[in-house]
Amino acid sequence: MRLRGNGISTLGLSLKTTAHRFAAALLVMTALGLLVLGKADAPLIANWRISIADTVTPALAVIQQPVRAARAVIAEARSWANVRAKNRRLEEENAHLRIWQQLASRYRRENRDFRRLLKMARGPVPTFISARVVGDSGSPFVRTLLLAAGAEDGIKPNQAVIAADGLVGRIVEVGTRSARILLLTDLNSRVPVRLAGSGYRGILVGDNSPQAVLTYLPARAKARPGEEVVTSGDGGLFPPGLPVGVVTRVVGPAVHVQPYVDDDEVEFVSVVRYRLPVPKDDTMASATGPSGQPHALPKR
Amino acid sequence: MIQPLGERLRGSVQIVTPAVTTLALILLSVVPLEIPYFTRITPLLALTAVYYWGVYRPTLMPVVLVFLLGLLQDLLGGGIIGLTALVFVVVRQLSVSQRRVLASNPFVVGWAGFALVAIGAEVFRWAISCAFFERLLSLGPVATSVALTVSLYPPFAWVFGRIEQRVMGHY
Repeated sequence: MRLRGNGISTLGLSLKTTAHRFAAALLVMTALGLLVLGKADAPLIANWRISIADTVTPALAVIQQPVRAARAVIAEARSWANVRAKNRRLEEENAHLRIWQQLASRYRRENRDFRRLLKMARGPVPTFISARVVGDSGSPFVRTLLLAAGAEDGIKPNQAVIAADGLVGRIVEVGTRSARILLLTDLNSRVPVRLAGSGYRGILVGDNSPQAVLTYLPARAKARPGEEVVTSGDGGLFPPGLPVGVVTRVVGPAVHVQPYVDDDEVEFVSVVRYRLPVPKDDTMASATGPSGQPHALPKR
Repeated sequence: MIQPLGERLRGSVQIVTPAVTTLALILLSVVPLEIPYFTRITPLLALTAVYYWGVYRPTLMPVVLVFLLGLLQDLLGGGIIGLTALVFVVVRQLSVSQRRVLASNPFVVGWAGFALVAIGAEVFRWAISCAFFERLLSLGPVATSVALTVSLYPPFAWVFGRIEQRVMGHY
């Protein structure tokens, strides 16, 4: 493409080029300004972000259809390929689980009786909102998921998010129809946990890698590979006892934990609605969990 | 009267093609593909479109549009707002300014140019992310992501080329 034309059009062209350069410089400044604004942690940014997500979520759900269809076909083919082996495995597992079921129902009865004997106040019973994952971060720098459910479905910031195997993360941004989950493995994730065996408490810290690190354990605590890690319920955001992961390596003070949930493969999650009872005149009062009446939780 | 309408329609399709292809890649990059470990190394797919259209159809890829697309990528990914927008604007300016060299030489030259741009872009995003989160982030996933982005350029450029031929024809 050769540039042709007389003096006037050349002048026009150079003016145009200057205007373009100016626009580019202005946009670079704007982007830098947004970076700084984001660092200052203005809730404004989070609001923009989630309102855009609200708009785009339906489109993402549509784009996801062919991806899901392809995966379904592959999964179907695979399951046909090893249907016999799977059947045998499931039968064994079933026999095993039936024993557990008997044990569990006995323990439940016993537990109920003991609670009654001790006059123990039951904690709030969590309820769940199930939702589909429609987006991920699409970059190596953050670990988040986008959910196709939001405030109108009852989702609120800081609620715990679980999948079939355990904790996934927590809600950080809530829009009308969408919400963003900060995964356990994100750099900024901090989850109060305890070692299920010994009961020692610590904080599970993400570092963007597939594993998270258990920190702030008391010096006397000895974590061993294979030990289970569950939520401690400290801070009151998460219900205690949610399975989180398992200790894989202990290198000096660093205890590495492999989360049970592979966050690359979650399709559906459940958001846990859980509120600590507000201290009232006496215990026993809020035995039935969230009553629909908004408790006055401290805002953060 | 039918001819002008058809022409006009064709004209508007031409105008939106670069934007729509870039937008599609942005959405594709945030749709969960449910492949193990993939989200940690997701390539910056839309960078291929920003670069390609910057070289071949700069007028259809105005800098404001590129900025908005980058911003959308940032907003959807939940990352640092403004970072990808900044990267896209700079890449667009670079590719437009070097378009004569990049477009008139064999494809490999354009690809090499893209490789340089992609490496620069991701190292820049990594450095800013480190500064933003005040922590040293691992470079491994970034390197893999860059390698993927660079190796995806030839097939993507081929597709863009086909779309360009189809939609723009002699234009």
